[in-house]
Amino acid sequence: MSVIKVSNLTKTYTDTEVPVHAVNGIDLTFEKGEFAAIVGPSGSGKTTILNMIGGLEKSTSGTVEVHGQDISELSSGKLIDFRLNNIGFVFQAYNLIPVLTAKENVEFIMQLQNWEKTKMNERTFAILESVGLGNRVNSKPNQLSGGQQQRVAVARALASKPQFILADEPTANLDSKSTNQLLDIMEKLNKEENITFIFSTHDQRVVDKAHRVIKVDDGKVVSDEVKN
Amino acid sequence: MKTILKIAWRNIWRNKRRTLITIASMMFALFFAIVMRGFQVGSYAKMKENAIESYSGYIQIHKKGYWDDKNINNIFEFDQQKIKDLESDPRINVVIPRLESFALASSGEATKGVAVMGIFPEKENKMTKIKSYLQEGDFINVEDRSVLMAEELAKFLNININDTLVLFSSGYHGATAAGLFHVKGILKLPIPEMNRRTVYLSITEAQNFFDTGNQFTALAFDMNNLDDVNTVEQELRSDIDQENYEVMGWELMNKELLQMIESDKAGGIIMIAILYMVIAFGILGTVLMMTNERIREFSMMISIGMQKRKLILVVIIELIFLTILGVIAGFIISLPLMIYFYYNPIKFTGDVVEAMKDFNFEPIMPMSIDFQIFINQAIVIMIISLIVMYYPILKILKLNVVKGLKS
Repeated sequence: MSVIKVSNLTKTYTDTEVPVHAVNGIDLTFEKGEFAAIVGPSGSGKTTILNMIGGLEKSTSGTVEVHGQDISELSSGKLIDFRLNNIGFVFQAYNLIPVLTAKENVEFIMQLQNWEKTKMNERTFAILESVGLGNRVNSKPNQLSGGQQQRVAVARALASKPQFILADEPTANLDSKSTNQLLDIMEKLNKEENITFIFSTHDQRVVDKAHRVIKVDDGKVVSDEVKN
Repeated sequence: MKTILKIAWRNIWRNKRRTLITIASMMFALFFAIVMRGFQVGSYAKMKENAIESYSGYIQIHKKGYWDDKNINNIFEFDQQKIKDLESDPRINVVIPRLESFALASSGEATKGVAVMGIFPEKENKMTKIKSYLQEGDFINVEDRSVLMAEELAKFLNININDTLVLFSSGYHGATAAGLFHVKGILKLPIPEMNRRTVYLSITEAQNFFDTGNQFTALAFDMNNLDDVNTVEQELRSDIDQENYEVMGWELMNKELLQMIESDKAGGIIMIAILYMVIAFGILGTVLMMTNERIREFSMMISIGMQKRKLILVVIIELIFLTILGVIAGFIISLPLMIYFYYNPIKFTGDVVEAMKDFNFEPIMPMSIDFQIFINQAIVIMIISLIVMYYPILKILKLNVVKGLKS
């Protein structure tokens, strides 16, 4: 059974002078454990697709089903709970909570989910260890490099074992070394935890690592290629 | 909840300088408001205390119509046994019969209209602590044919201890009242008006002087507990023949004083309100900055699964922390000063003294350390914070997460 099924999804922005058709009727399906990249030039609609899959933005028409549930029917409060329990987010600008340490940032979602303290601690240390930050657990974001912050963000997204992870241009602010490290870590975790990763990117290094590449342009899927 | 508290506490220290400035602004506003209010409440309490304990008492009984026409003919006789019965009531400290009227006082070339007060000296002392005002000479007893004079009156008449005072007046039913009295003591009375024109005689001498027999103009009641005043007043009203007597409470007897206090209080409240308005805008400024600079952070927190109500709780707790810190700081800096002035009230000197006496105020500024003053000011700051909280709450409720993430 597919994790995510996107059917005839469209998004039109009408708050501009001329309506902008950001997404034009796309159909996509993601299976468990996929490591997929949505690629395309700026303004092609890749971030909008990701936002709609993540329930951050309402579609103009079409449906997004996660494990058979149409998330566009959920109220905004239920959508927040849905995201909490099903989706991990990795943002371009890291977006860690600046007043919390790496460990506290990773724990944050688990705390919202009311994890038991011992289990939460075990999971936090294990996931920080696996992203190579076992020695920086008590560092605050401003004490970490960009690459390290993004690794904490990945750890935070993965910690509560969501159904899938949406990563919007996760390497855009990173240098080559940090990008490679991050991609290696995400690929490893994808295999180890069997969690679906969906990236939006125009970074060729991400495209090279991805097992499936979905090219979009003008809000339409122009190719969908699974690598062997 | 622990995480929410932790985030809120750390958030307020993200910009230490701004937080300290906000706390300082609350602290100084509270300091000025509390000290100002402390002086006001202290002065009002002193004025009431002077009026009640130095003169009127909490309740008085007169012949009907006496209060509006303080005439020596409006007097009454009251059963001494009944007075003793009243005094046996545990709620009542003492019942003081008085005979009050007016006379011309003279010594040498100087003459002045004075208030003559016939008293039971020891009983009077139980309520008014009149003995403690003695500056020179000795206190009188009920058999004395001597008088006690107010300090400024004695100065005006150029009279000293052991001199003779001439009193001349109209007695009961038009009888001529004239007498020579030995001055036994000089009193410095707390109410300036009384200090300018009061002469105390023993009640027996006053009754002889005014030829009133065993009659009085007033029975003044001192109470053990202010809370019992209204009940006792009501009971006296129902016990006493209201056709012939009037029972008056301290509020009615000191109506002008209370009105003056109310109008002065209103002026003080306007001053404090202006002060708080300035502070409200200060707090609002901080909250605006704290909210607007974190829109992306709020959006991220909602994106990853934090309910808006929890985020609102974080912001509310941040403001509560700020307010509590401001309030505590305000208390800490105002309390020592208030305690100091409570034990060392400001004593005015120079021309201000005369100006205050002209308005019948004692020329001192006492301080009140009533805890209610602190509580009230803290509540005002809390209310300001509650109003200011409205902004971040609205901002979070209306937050567009996608736009916020791009901000």
